[in-house]
Amino acid sequence: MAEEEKKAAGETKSVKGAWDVKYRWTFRQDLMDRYVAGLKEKKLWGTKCHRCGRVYVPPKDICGKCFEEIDENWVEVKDRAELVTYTVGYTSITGQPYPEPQITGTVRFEGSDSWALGPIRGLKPEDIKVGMKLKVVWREETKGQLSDIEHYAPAE
Amino acid sequence: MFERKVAIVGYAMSDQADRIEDTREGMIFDTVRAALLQAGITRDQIGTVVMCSNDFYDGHTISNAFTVEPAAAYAKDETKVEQDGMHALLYAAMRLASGNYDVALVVAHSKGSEFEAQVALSAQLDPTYDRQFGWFNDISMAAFQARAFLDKKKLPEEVLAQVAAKNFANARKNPKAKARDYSAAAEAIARSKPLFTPLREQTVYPVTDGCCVAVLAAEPKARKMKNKPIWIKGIGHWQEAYALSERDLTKMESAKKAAKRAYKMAGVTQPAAEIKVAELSEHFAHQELQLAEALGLCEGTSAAKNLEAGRFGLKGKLPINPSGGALSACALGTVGLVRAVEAAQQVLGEAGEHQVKGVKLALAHGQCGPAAQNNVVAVFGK
Repeated sequence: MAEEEKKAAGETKSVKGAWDVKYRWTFRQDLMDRYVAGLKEKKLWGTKCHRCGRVYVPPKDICGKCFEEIDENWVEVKDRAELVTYTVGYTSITGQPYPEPQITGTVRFEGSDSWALGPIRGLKPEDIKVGMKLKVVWREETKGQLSDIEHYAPAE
Repeated sequence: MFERKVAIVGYAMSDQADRIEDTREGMIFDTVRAALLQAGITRDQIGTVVMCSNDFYDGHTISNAFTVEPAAAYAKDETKVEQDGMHALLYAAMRLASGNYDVALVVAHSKGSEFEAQVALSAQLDPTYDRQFGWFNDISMAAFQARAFLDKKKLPEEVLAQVAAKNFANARKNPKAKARDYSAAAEAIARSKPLFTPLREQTVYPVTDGCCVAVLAAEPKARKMKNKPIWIKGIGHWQEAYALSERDLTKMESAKKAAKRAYKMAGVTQPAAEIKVAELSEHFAHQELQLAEALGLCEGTSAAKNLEAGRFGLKGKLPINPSGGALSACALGTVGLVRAVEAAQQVLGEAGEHQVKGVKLALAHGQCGPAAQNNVVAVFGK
């Protein structure tokens, strides 16, 4: 039966429902504690693989490339970064239009081999360039939370 | 290498468009019935069934519990994958190659009209760092990849509209595609609603409803079926790290490695010359160009130049996505199996208005994960 016919005949009907399941994800608190303790002091700490030497910021406890545990091998990286790639968002993740376009990007801190994701502010969308130097803009009073990194901005 | 050769011996697909008034079970039942009829088999000849869907898309956990019956899997060996229909085809082929079964049914489906796709897809993101601030989704993650690729290749954003324009023009010849009545003017596509630059509404997959079914058989059974067997000459699967931050987004390393395995198994040494048509799961326009390069389908090294020269067009030397591809219709998780069935139809000469002439070897690709983390490539031939 054609779609219109089915609709006209009232053959199908839809009911609404939601999947409201709450989760409690478990993660390595020792890693996160050390990382956010660094953020409170406006410092960035990552972990370095014993085998390949890759530095992960935020820290990881397993290097998937080497299949090795990274055990307490902390290194500090600079809060200056290079922009690896970016996008200018015109809609929120659920599709609602933003009042102003929002820039997000992936940044590589000096001394790190992985990148962090986050918002970039303080410049117009047309002025952003891959490879540009960025700095971390810290929250005025850091609290030892992920949101201590407010955003990234051009390093002047 | 498979112990026994495996072929596609039958297929069917529903419209890959909005089927709001259909039940999921009805859509699956109709498509599976059509595939059995097309293959000339009855339900009792099916040994094993591999389905593809996703609990988040279906709104049920272990959602195949509900689809076993319309998928002809009642009281049979049945399982489900949550990646892509191409993964379901791979696992079904392995079940046949093992010698345990002779005939398998591969069933992929989803109804995008029934759920908020971007909300469900955001559940694939890491909950600790990437999800909690609400900055990222499936589209913005791919936008990072698109920007990195365009920048590396020094390409303008307009090239993405040209990919979509080619695919929408092809879709006009495909009665199953949602984009069959879209305008194929690149200028209009380049002005469509910006989502996450450089991606726009018309350079991102349109979420649709749809079901696709393939009937597979292993030799010697495959040679005794009603239809001519279209052999899986080669198939490869590879994946890389979840974190975008640990990948080179300018390349598609896992797609390249998957293709390398498929080509080795198929004895393909010059893919750009030997493959006559390719159906790729370009969820986003830039991915078609990246895949063409990673899969070795270009003359030279620039997919954009091949596109501009018309080499990937319906009348080109190596048409890519004559069906219109994923930009023209995208039932999530069904896309890769649609590509495989399209490739088989091309080899059989049954692709209808978008048939490419003289296809001996056809390639199909499926993917899943943020910014195409995980890829399957298969080569089909007589």
